[in-house]
Amino acid sequence: MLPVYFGQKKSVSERVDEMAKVLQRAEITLRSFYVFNSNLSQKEGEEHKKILFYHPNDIELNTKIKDVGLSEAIITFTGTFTSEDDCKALHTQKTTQLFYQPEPGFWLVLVVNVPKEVKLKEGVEVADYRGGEVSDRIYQAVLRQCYHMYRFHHGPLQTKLTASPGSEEAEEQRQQLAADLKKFYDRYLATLKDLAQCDIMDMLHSIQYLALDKSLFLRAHNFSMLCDTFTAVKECIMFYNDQVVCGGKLAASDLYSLHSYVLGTVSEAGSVDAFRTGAFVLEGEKPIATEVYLDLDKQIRPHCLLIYRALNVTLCLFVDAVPTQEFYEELHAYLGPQLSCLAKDIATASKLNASVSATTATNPDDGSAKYLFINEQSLKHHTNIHRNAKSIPRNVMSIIADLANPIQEISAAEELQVKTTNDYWIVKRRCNWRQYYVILSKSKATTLLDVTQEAKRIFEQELTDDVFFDK
Amino acid sequence: MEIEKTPPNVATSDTNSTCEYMDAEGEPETDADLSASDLYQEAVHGAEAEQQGHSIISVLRDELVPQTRNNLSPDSETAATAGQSKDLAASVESLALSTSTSAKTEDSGSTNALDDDTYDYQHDRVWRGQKKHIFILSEAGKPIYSLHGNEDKLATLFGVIQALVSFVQLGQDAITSIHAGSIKFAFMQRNSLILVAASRTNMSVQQLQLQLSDVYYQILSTLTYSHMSKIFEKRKNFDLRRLLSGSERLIFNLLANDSSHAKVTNNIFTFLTNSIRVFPLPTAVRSNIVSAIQSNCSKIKNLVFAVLIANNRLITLVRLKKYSIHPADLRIIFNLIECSESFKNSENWTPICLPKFDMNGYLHAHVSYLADDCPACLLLMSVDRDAFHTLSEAKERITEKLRRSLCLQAINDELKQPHNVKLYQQVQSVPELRHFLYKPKATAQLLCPMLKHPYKSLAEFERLEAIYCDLLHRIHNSSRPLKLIYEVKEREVVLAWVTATYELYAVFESIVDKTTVIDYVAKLIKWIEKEYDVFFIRNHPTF
Repeated sequence: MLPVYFGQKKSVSERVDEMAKVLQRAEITLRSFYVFNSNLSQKEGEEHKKILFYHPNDIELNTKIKDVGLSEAIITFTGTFTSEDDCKALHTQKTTQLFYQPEPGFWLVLVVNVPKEVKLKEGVEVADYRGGEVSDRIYQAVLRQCYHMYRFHHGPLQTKLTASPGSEEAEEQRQQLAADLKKFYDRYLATLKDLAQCDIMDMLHSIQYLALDKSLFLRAHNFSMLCDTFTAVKECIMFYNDQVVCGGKLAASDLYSLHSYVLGTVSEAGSVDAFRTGAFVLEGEKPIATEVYLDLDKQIRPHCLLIYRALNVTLCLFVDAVPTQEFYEELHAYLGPQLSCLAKDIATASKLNASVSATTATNPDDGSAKYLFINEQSLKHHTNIHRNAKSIPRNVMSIIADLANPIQEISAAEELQVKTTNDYWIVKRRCNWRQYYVILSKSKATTLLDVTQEAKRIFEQELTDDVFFDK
Repeated sequence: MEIEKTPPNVATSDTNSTCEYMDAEGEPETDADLSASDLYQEAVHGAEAEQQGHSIISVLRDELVPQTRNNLSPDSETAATAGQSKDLAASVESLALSTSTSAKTEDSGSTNALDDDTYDYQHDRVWRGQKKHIFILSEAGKPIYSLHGNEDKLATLFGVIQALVSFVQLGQDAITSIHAGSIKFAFMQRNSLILVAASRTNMSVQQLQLQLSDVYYQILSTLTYSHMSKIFEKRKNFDLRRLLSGSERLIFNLLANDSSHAKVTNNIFTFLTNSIRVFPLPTAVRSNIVSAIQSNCSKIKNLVFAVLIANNRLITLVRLKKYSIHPADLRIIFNLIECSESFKNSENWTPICLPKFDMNGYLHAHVSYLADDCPACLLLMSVDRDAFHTLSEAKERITEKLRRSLCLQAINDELKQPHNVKLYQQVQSVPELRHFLYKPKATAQLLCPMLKHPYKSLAEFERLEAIYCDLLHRIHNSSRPLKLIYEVKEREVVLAWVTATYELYAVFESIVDKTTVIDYVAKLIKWIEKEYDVFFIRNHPTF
């Protein structure tokens, strides 16, 4: 029997279900991920050509072709009613499949197995597929990031296919693109975050910014003047540990890609000690000079990325071409002393901050009020939610993801409060391109008015932060 | 016409089925109210699975027949047989009447104009842009119904749907929904039927599936589950439209209840909350009506339900002990009455299957309006297909008694008012309260006030509908339900609140503050509790 009917209320059998013992629970997992372009296979019998990448690789080609065929059919079906590039998701009893067409003709599809619970019901093991727990919006964002990360490293897909269709050269280009995709995604998917852990921050692609006092912030900001001193430097981004200090003019999705790339690279580069006085991050013997694609001034163009590090500060410099040895030396001489000095000062300041907040902040699971603030324009966020500490139940995080406004959505100021069945309160405010959430549990506030008061207090206490009010 | 022949056939075959006493739907619990409320919340699969190949009606009949034999003299039995041919003739006539009004006149829009075979729906902007589509087809891909457009001309589309569904099925899986930016599709598969709803509104997949299940039950109510199964067992690509001709208007009316058909009514909310509405009456009047029905019906054998409705609302339901009618079945009854003008002209004897009650058999319903001067419709439903005369006489006596006890007058008085006076006064006393839905948890009944400014215009009503769809979806979200939602929107303040005893959804002017909303809600709840018996029926009485 198919899961075709959902009563509005809990049914008798559902209540029995709840009582039924959950023997086993499988969380959401990646089932497959593929990239295809239907235009690449014109002839019958060449269906495999449209598949540019398919993960996992070790399944029959025929299955891959069938899966892609289903995706194409779903896209065509929705196209009957709306424009063809509008297709977003397919839900089946056992899977959720997300669709994304970043460039005309190129589709990325992410298929996940929905969480599954095996229950003992009247002595029989019954599988219960929990498709409702999967938030489309979160995994849609994960899928978008899959593309953006690729584009960040390799540029748009279409630029690799320039030859006229049908020619031998076109086939070579197709194979080259498939090889590129394979190389990139085999590695990327292996390091992909556990899908079960994805939440609203993944959805909004927001990054935690470092809060600094005004003078330190200005000093840090002055480094972006580097671009004036060294005209070859087009853009300059600064991180402190995993937090952003200056985000420059980078598009939010590029900054997010850069952030995850740099964090990975830097952590491989060795301990802080190696960068006591500042140095370029090396790849083998030579400084890293990776080609990356940035969406600057509405144009996606390749740039050369250099990573310079002093203590915990990481500076990302984008230049036009691989620089000469002299240029490296010149930059190092300029950056070394200043940056390591700044890094020390930031360290001192944030230690001070940490000790202040240590008195107020407590262990993550104590049921104290949690908050999350998101600046939609810069995609900065500010929170005391420890993301992996499970301090907040899954249903509450999912509700926040439901409530969160898509970034581009224009709507009036809103205020909203909800109470979950496990007695968590979520208060949301949205105004002036900012979304604020406060999560209360086990709090003394139990009525609508108390909760309003308590949330107001937290908004006022936490929103004194410069990062949220500047710019 | 096939449809007129089927009921007797099916009814006969029913008697052959096993004679178990209990059934998922009709569990004979001593606490009738509790069991009733549980019934309404029942999941379909379980009940359906258990019901397949089993019929309450046959149980009832088996149970009752020996009694009949014992109680009735052989004479009266022969008398009944003698009258049978005449009754059957009457029945055929009434069905013919009701089917004759069935032409799909309501939905001429893009259909009639395009009679040539090369109808290209993909490029018909009106068709493509419809806010709602419903497609019903058989598992073999045969078109059965399309809300817009002639289903024959949509054969390609039906083929695509069938292919998608069966392809996914091959992988031991099932499509539940497809989402695009501006439109979503809900899929449902039941008993050799594939039902698909497409919507551009705020309705959630679960809500669309609820609507599909209403349509599915509407089809069952015409054909019964067992009959339809047998047909498809015999011939996989049978054209079901042959058997459904005449009931398209019922399906259409069921689906056309919302803003997608430019209807500004409260009707949509009953299906969204899986409930029905009650005709407000003073408690004394209602209990007079109940006793009038009881005193005239309690001795009639084989009578299962008596249902009195007016203006799409329930006045009373009197039932055989142990059995009750699910709100989904009641909606089917309401729908039938609303769609059948012909019932107003004469007494009718019509077979009806109430799928939640028994999806495998027909009840025989005596349907008539109480009197020329009182447009309330009485249905007396029996498992005895020869009971027409008995029921017809009972109805005369009921009407007579209601007239004497001034109940007809009371019903008419209420019908004459554009709104219930008490409710109107209450709503007037809180001008900032624009609209609300109140549903007690113990009964699947809904109270909502008349639509007033600004929701009388279609555009604004659409927004109200979207607000309620959204609130209901979030409150009842199966994986993360909520107890309370308070939301300040641009144009209104909305509240949804689920307690142990009721669900309340309320929409206020955007300028009220939280304290005021809380006061108003407290006031409203207090008033409803005070007037509870005027607007709700606590227990459905028995014969």
